Amino acid sequence: MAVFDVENLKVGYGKLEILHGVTFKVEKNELFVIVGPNGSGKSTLLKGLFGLATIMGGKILFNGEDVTKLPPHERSKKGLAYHPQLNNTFENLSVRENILLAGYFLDRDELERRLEKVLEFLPEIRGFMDRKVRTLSGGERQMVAFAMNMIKEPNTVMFDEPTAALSPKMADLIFDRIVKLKTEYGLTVVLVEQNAKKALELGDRAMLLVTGTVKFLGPADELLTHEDLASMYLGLRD
Amino acid sequence: MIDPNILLDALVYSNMLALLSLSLTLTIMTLKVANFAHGDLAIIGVYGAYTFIVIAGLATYLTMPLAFLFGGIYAVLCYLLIYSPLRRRGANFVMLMIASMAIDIATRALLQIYADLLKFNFKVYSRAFIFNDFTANILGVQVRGLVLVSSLSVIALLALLYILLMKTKFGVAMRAAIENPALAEVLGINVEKVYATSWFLAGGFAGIAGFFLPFRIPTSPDLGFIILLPIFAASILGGINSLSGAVVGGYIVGFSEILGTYLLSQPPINLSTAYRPAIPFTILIITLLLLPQGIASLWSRGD
Amino acid sequence: MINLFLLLVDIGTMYGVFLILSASMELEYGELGIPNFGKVMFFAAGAFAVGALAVRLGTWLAGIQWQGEFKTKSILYSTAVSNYFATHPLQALLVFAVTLVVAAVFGAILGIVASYPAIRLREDYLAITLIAAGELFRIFGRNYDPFIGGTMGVGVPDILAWMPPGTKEAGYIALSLSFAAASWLILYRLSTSPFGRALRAIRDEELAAATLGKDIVKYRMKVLALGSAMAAVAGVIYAYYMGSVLADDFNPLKTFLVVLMVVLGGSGNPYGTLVGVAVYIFLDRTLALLKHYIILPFDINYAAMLFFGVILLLVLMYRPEGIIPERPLLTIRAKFCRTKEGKLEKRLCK
Repeated sequence: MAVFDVENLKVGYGKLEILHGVTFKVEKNELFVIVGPNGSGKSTLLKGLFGLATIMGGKILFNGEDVTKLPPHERSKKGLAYHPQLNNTFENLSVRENILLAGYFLDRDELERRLEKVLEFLPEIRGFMDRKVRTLSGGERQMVAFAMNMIKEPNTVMFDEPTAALSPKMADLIFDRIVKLKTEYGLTVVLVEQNAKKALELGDRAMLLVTGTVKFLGPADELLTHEDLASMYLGLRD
Repeated sequence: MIDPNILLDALVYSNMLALLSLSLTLTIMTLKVANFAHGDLAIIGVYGAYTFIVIAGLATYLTMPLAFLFGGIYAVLCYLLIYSPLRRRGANFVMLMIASMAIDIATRALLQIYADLLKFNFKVYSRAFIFNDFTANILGVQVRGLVLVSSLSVIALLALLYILLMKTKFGVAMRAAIENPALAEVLGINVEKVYATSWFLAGGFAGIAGFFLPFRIPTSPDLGFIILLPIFAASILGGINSLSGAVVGGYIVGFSEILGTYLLSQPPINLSTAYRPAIPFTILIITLLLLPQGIASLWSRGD
Repeated sequence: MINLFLLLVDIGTMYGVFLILSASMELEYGELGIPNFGKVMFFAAGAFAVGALAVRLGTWLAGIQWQGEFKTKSILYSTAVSNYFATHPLQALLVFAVTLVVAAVFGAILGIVASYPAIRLREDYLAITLIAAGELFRIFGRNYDPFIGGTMGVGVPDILAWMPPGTKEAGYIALSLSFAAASWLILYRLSTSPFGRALRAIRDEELAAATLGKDIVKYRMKVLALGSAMAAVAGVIYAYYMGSVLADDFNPLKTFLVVLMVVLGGSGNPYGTLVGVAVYIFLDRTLALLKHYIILPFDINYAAMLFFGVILLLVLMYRPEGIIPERPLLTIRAKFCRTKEGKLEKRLCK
């Protein structure tokens, strides 16, 4: 059974439709990459999958269950996590408080246990646990957001451009952890990326979105080496 | 030399104003728009308490929790029945503001009708009523009970609010939902519940402040609108987004208003005390023009 | 028994007064996006100008020697001046013209002063600032007796006293409605002109309008000056019609009613004000009539206030665009053309 089984999904904001019916599946324990030019609806798709944008038609099955009409926190309870591109941490709270909030519904012992595991996975955070987020660098903030998702021990994580505006070194670190989610923890990952080349190299399968419609769906390396699509929409040439 | 009684009166008035400006600020932080019906919450609280005093014969100070309850419930109802649905329907800033103006008009009308009914059914004073106070003897000095009760209430409520916001999980969630409601929602926090709780607390604080009113001045349904200007002045002076600023603003405006009115009404100026609103108005104008971020910007970065 | 003629006079005159106020609110809020919650202050500015000047000018023209306090004697002298006006129509019109000009200029100046905070402040801060300013103005009128008689109010001479009995009332309707028509036409012309388009551009996207070279500060100042002068003119007509000015009459409830009319009718559309004012006056008069037939254990005026508050909330919630919604402005004349389904529709034809 696929993790996501999305059928003819139409998503938008208010009355404006941005995604005009996309159909795809995400299989268990795969790294599914979504690429496309600016404004193609990548972020909107993730928001639709998480319940943050208006669903105007179609159907989303998550682990076989229809979640099309569920609010975000209900989807969250089913093991789906979403890592937004911006505003993904609370500026005026400390890192500890941010992570505590992410594990809002856990009891104290369980939270401590999970926090230990998360800190093993992202040891860098130990260094700034009690600082307010607004004093952190962009990369550090992404790590906090990452940790906030991990504390929920999800089975599926969706990342929206987690490396945007980060230094190459920091971006590599984040990519490395994302891959680990799949290989070491057995999670399913949906990754939206601007850095198409890097993402397609790491990904198992990929989808190319252009102005709200699917232009390609298949193995990631196939898209990477696709003569027309890669150069036309992703600016990749070899 | 200023009469010590005037200083004590200023303290009582400022205690009240601090609670009101603090609670107004709390609602502005969740709604992002100033609520023009905030003063009315205080009057709802005091009418609730008064009803139990004259009908059930409860001792005056025992009805304080009732004032909290009535103010809180009315505030929650305003939020859940009007502000929140309006916002979900995409109402903009000005529409929310107009809604709060409509709530103010409707609330005052309700209070007037209630006052009429109270008088009609129970033959009691329902307008311009006052509360009798006790006098405490502290180290040989006679002090009005209200001075003690209002000061202790402010201290206790501030301490409780601080503990709630800083030391409890729910408080962290409240701060988070205020800062970034979208993200809080993503994390599974029921933002609506958190906001409704903020409104309940704010209404409760306003209700307690309202409870202090009849000890000082005759209280009538329209008083809520009259005290709105000093509340706004205090909240804006405090920086609108700062709870600590709102409290400090309350004391500055409160003392300025009472002492300023007193001094201006003395010879050689002899100005009518009717011009009293000019003082919070002046503070408001000066703040908005010279220090639009409020005094809280002098010591913190909005937390 | 209710005198139908007087009822109609009252409805017609008040329709005119409220239409001027609504047109000015619509200009500021509906077109430019500044909700002027201090509307009653500018309304009061006109009425207070009449209260302070009309009886003084009248006694001076009539050569009447003033004896005694202004506060206690103004009603008496305004009656004397009315008697003088009954035989001196030119002097009456002169007093009207002078007070009208003074009031309009006073209103415009206040509007320019108000534009200073209006340009700089967030809407809710601006609102409380203007409400408070209006209240202080009222408190001043109430407490400083030589201005407009303090708590006693001031008498205003009847400038139409020279008209034959029975036609005088019609004269007030005509006066009120002609100024209302002029105000509404100003609003209409402005809103369908390039000036109106600029205002809406500023309302909807301030930054974008600024980058297109619109001087936002100047637009707002002009609109507030004009809107406030209009409100002052409404105050002038109101004062002459009522025959007296009482400071406490000019409380923030008046502003609320004007906001109600504009939102109810449909802000952003000049036709909305015509309808909004009519609906309000209809409801208000109906409630006033009911007073004679219903006995309640509370004052029905409060029930009316509650009713209007709830109406405004319901409109905001279920029909925020009002009875007549705003439409995209067409400065090019639209024609009726057929849609695909064959229905007639007024729009630009392809």
